[in-house]
Amino acid sequence: MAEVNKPLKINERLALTTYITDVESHIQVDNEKCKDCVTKACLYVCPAKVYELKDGKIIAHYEACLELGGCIIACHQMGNKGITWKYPKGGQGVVFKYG
Amino acid sequence: MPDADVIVVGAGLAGLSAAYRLAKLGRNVIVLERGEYPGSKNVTGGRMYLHAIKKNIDIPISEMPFERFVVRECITFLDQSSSVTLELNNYNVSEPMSATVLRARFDRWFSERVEERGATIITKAKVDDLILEDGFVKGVIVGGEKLTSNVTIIAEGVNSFLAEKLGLRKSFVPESVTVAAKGIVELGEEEINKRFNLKDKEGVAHAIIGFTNGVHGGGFIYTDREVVSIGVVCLLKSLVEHGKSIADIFEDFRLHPAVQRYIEGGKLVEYSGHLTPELGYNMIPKIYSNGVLIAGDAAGFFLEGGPILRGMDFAIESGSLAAEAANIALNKNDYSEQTLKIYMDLLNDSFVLRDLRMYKNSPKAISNPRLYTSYPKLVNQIFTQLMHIDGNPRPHMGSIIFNNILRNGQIIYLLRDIFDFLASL
Repeated sequence: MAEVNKPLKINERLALTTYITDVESHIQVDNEKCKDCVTKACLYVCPAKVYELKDGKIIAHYEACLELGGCIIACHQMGNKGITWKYPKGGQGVVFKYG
Repeated sequence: MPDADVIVVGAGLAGLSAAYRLAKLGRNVIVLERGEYPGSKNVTGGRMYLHAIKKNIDIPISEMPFERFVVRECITFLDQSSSVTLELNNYNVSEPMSATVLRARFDRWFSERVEERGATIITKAKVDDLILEDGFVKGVIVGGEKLTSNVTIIAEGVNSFLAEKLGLRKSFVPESVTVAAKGIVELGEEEINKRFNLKDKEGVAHAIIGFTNGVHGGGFIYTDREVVSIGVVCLLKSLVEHGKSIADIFEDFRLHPAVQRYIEGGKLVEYSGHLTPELGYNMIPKIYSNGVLIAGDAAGFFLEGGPILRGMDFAIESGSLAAEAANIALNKNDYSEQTLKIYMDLLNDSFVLRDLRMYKNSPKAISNPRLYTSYPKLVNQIFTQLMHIDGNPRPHMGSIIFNNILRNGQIIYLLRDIFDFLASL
């Protein structure tokens, strides 16, 4: 639980949500493609901020994924197709209690 | 003999409605759900219009785990330091039209009722592929195992990779999907009743525009029983074009005084998100083929008309109609596209395609950027000036209104936009 009237970092917000985290990532990033990407569309469309630009490279924090699938549409149609994204394995990933 | 008459992919509202109908008809139906439990991957704002579930599921609404019944509709035009709200109150709540719902709870309950009717639900089962033989879908591959059926109903939600794989559907385009970020705030039932001025199971649906700094989108507040759902919904393309993160827009919204006054002192207990298809009638994919039908969000059945957001009633109806079409095919022992096309005919006769057809231009109507920027500001300016008394000379009320509208030539846009808006909706 978190106080509702204070700004919260994305990690603090995500700590409220339940996950069963797979050891294997369901997201792959090909930075060879990302380095030529002008829009970096993945940075804006993810409510969990799974994608982070660090030292010129895109890093995917797959364990935070809320499984929308918006990143793949943004990347493949507005970016440079560097992201491969599929649903986590059955029973893995996010578990909403409210939804 | 196949393993099942019908395999349903996805235990959301479309999939569960299909399985409910088929199980009632005595068919052998298996539902495959990738989540820990049905509902664990499902998110809505949100509120459900109840007509479809009333019609298709023979359980009284009062026994369904809805949060609250909506008796008040609010639309707010929000500016930095002021807001103007339009409010509709319904005092005759004997026949509620819509209810707020939390899908993790609701879908789990629904799946239990579907199992009671005789369907099999397998959780933690992610469908990796479809079995294709002689141009027919003959079942699915799940966890490396084959599971065969006469008809497969794809109800796996907005990212229907299976429908894409079949070539029935193209990937969605950035201008026809919205991204939502949502938070659940725990306040307690009594406190919600007090803050929102509600009784018993009464609830509020509140849509808000004007705070997104030009991004095409808005916010919502829905009262659930003991928690409040708050969130923002923005067009995917618009987020990228403006270089604004949906996660940051959510924070701006949550911390805005207009939202804080409702949720202050509460605890944020869950953070979630959702992707919504806003295709419009003209972009609905082919939803039937040999041995396969597509229902719900996977088929792109969603309608946005300003504060009215409809996906769940379409999901329930399309799932039920897919079941009816599958049942007809099973009776004829013919699973060809020619027979399964009956699904399309049933949808055409139902409110699903009737309403999507009627509002086929609504994506255009709500794509007007002035709706999210200058108009909310204009409404706030006019009202603020109309209500302002400080002892100084005051212009006539009429001239306050006209000066604001005429400024920057807005009158031309305004008249054209009103005309376009009414023509498209």
